[in-house]
Amino acid sequence: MKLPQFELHRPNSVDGASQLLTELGDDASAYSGGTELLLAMKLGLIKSRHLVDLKPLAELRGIELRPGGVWIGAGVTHREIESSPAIRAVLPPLAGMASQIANVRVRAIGTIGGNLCFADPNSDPATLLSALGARLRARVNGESVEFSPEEFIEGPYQTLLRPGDLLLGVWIPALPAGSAAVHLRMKIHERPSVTVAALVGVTRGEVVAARLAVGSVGPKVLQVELGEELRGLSGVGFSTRVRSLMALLAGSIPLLPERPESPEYQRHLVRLLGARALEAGLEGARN
Amino acid sequence: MSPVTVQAVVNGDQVKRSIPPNLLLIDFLRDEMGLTGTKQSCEVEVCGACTVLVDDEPVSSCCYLAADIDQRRVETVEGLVGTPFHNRVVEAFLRHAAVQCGFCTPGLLLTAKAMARREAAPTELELREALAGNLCRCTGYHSVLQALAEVLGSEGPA
Repeated sequence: MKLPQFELHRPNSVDGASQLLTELGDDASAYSGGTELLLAMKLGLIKSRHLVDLKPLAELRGIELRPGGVWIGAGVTHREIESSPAIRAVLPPLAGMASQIANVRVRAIGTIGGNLCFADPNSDPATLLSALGARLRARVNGESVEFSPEEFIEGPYQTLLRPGDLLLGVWIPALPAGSAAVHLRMKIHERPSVTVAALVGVTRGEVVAARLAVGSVGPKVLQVELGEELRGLSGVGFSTRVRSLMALLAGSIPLLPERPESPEYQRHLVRLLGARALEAGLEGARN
Repeated sequence: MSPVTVQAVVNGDQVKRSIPPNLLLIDFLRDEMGLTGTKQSCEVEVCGACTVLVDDEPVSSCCYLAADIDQRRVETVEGLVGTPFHNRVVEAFLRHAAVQCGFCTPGLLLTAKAMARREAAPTELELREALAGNLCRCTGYHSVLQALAEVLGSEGPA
């Protein structure tokens, strides 16, 4: 397979890239790692006549440990995230998630920003970022605006960015004291069948906060706050409540049509992995 | 299409070419450079047969623009030939019967080379994770893991 013809543009600033993408409109695609874009172009699914290369833009690079959290530029690769000492120290589940994406070759060049902007519904990062309470900073109509991952990704392969808008990076707050985050996924084919992520906070052994995000099954990430339902629980009481909550959630979550997995199996996985993530979150938060 | 100039080091040699922007790295290597050790198979970044190293990182040359090797170092299986690493791997692959048809072997060798540069003695799990993206339809992987574990200095799988 060959790539269709296109012009390659290499602007030297975010402003320049944004201006170029605005002028070229629907004829252009922002290009970074290309692990999704070039594939889709080879298969004839995307027919962009111009690629605007964002890789050289220093403004989109870098992982920075700041007070209260970590900033990851949109152009940072999965490989850089999985091997970053700062992220491994402050947000180990994020490093662990990045280390499971696709294969070593995709991780070496695929970027966190590219993954979020491509918005493949069967993908891990947005789900974990949602549970972690991450904020996505984008340049929209020339203004810097923040979104949650659930707001940013509107549906399969659709974000709220319009031509000329760019994702700049992701702000991830450090885990609150007494809390733990867990990411679990089940993968049968090349992409995850189900992704879940939980953030659980405890005080004196009892739950004070809980959030669950479920992805890779529906058109977009579903985030639910379970703090009210699980507050004050621990041990058997926690497990029993988690099982009934997950049965409700798994029964009602919207599913993508035409998946190789049956709806029954998808719901089964949501129930099972969701409960496991919350249990592991409680366990992690207590230690 | 406006051509793009690339200036790169391929297997230690300086290369400068004017190429179309839509040229894939695998076609540049095989057709322009005559380096046919890099194999085309799945064409969708899954199988690992087209793996080459760009600045020491393994990439799928089937989905990588040749224009992006500008100012970078590229290593293909031809660049490994004759190195001490290559000699050790070939010897271990033969001894463990880790090659049958050989189509996946160049990609496996380059993934292993990148791993060897990164980790002094990878654990079996690290080795399995690194090689998880290189598919082999002949050997069943066990002999490959044994051979590479030996060469990379860790204990082989039980």
